[in-house]
Amino acid sequence: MRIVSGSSDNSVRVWDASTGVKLKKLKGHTNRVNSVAFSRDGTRIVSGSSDNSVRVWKASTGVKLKKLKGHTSWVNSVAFSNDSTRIVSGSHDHSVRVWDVLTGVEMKELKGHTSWVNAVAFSGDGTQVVSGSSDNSVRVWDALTGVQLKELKGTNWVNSVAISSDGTRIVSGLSDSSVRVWDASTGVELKELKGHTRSVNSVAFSSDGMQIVSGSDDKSVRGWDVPKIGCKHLAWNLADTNWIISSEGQNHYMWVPQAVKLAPPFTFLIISRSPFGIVEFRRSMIGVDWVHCYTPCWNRLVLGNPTAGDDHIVSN
Amino acid sequence: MELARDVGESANFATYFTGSPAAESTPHLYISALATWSQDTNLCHNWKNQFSRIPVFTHTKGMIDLPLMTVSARSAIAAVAFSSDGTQIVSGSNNYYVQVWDASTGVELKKLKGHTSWVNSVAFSSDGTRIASGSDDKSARVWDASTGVELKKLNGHTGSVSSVAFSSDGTWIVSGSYDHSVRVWDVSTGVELKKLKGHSGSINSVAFSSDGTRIVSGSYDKSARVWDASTGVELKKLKGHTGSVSSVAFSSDGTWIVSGSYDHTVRVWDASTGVMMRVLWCHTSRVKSVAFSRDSTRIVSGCCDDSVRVWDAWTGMELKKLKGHTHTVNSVAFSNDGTRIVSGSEGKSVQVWDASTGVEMKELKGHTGLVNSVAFSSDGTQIVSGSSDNSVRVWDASTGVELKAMKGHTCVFERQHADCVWLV
Repeated sequence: MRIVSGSSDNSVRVWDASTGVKLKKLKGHTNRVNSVAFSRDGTRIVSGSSDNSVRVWKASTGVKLKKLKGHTSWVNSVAFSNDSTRIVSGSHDHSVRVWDVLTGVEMKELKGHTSWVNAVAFSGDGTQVVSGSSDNSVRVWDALTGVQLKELKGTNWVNSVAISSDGTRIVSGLSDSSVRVWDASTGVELKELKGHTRSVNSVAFSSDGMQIVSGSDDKSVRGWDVPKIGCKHLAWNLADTNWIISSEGQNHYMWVPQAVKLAPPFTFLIISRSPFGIVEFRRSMIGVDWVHCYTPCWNRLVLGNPTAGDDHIVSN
Repeated sequence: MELARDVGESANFATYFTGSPAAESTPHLYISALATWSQDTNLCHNWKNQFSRIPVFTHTKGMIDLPLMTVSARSAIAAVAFSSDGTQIVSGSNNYYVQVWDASTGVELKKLKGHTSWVNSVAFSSDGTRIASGSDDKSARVWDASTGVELKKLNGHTGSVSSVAFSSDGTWIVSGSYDHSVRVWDVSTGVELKKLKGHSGSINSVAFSSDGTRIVSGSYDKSARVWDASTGVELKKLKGHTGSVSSVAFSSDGTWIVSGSYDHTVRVWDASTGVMMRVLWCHTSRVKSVAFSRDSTRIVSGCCDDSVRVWDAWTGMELKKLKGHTHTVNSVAFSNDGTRIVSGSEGKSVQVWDASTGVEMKELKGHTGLVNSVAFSSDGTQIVSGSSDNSVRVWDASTGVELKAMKGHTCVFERQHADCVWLV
């Protein structure tokens, strides 16, 4: 396991993830490095820099293979396609560009954003590119033709975007501290995940697309369950009385002690200095079904194992 | 000891449930109270195994000490105390009221009205029939705890009364004031008996020794002083603190004095020689309140960093740091049986904590012969044992501390007469 990092000291470094030992230092950029990524096969590294260039490196030796020139301002974000043949880059010059890794040729320039492009990503099948910009929009592009397919309009700078591997969901991290989940095919916003208290700098999907992780200026990393349609338990509100109530406000799901600072709905993880309590209702019998919360050992097999496929039981 | 621990935890859980809003609805014994009850004990794991489909509650800090109960008052709490039987809590606050709360449900039982300014200090008499209070209105008052009627108003201080305490027989009250004086009063007549002068700054805290012969006072002049209660003579001056002494207390046997200070330390003193025995560092936080557990093995402190800390009185080791308040903890006290801590905060809440630290879960050492019979008291707080050493001993069920040894039997307790020890 290796980690690649880019720094404002103009260097790219490769680290052994288990020992923390530095393996390689890739030198060449003449300004700070804003974005780095491994190709999926692990053989290549791409870096984007404020020297306006994108560079491709051989991961094992640290040798520079290609310098991709074309952007007229800082390169803020770079990413490989899953098949490692193409690179997408987003820049301060408002453009998104797609490059051929082997030849270093610019294949397409995707124009439309009216401000800095802060984040770019390929869809899992490599047919689409998604980009986030300080023009408050997330845009979806056809990676081959360069045609803009969708514009997801928001209300604040988009610092980070990611698309789920099945291509159905897009997540964006915003300067207004929100994480937003979108339906990739319709362009409809599905959910705003509230909890961060400052600008969200980075978002990513888990490989199964069921979870999102986000990092923020508020010094916390948070993990979120991607909201599913029809799962009422995931959405709740915390009342002044410290009761967790259903989103419609009808049901009192659970009381939590006042002394606990409770993580917001959908959260499954918080890495932070300040302590949080996290509740999860996924397998619980609440509402009128509460009597089934008791599963004495002798009939657990009869009632069925809680892990057996009946997640997200809705009871009101 | 496993059993005693389980009984202790069961009692804690019962308080946790009955003192919470979840108590309004039976299902929430499981769905709310059990789900948020996170103890790394076999009992807790067993309970949760039986209820595998309650909500999953986790905490980023792992196992945390949550208060067993949080009572919201509408005003900053300056002082709290338990009644000696542990069933009631009295609090004094900035809303001019003295309030009495049920210690198991958190319900307000009485609101004592009379003071015309902030209430700084409250105390129960040891028989539980009287409450004393001291206020910024320069008076101390004595109340009937059962009716809430004001019995006496103690006039004389020319500054705010910061602290009041009963002598253990309930006949005297000692008060400390911002007028730099400590005064002793007759509870029944309200007459001022003594005026103790010597401090060169406001008095922040006063206490009687349990035999009623001595008084300790802590002052803004950075010293604590020990006085002869009947003559008013200053016996010792405890010097060492480098900041205002905010709180003082005697150990129950009168041997030790504990003091808390704005210099971030808690100090333990030999009450008879005045020698400083120990310094407990509260890191970067001013100490607002200190108290000994009744068995003198532990000290609790309330700190400006919003924490309540429990210390081993002998080693000086910090046993627990209880975080639940969101504001300065102004006042802390142990229940008489040592199982509970009550804390009051600037943040308008009173919290009740499980005082057990795990450390004191000792064997019940004392018997010198076979133990033939044991039984719990009906409330589960005490254990009685009968032994071949011809003694009957009573123990604190949660701490394992020996409370009483009754010797005098001349025949051995027989195993088949297990019923011969019983606790009423």
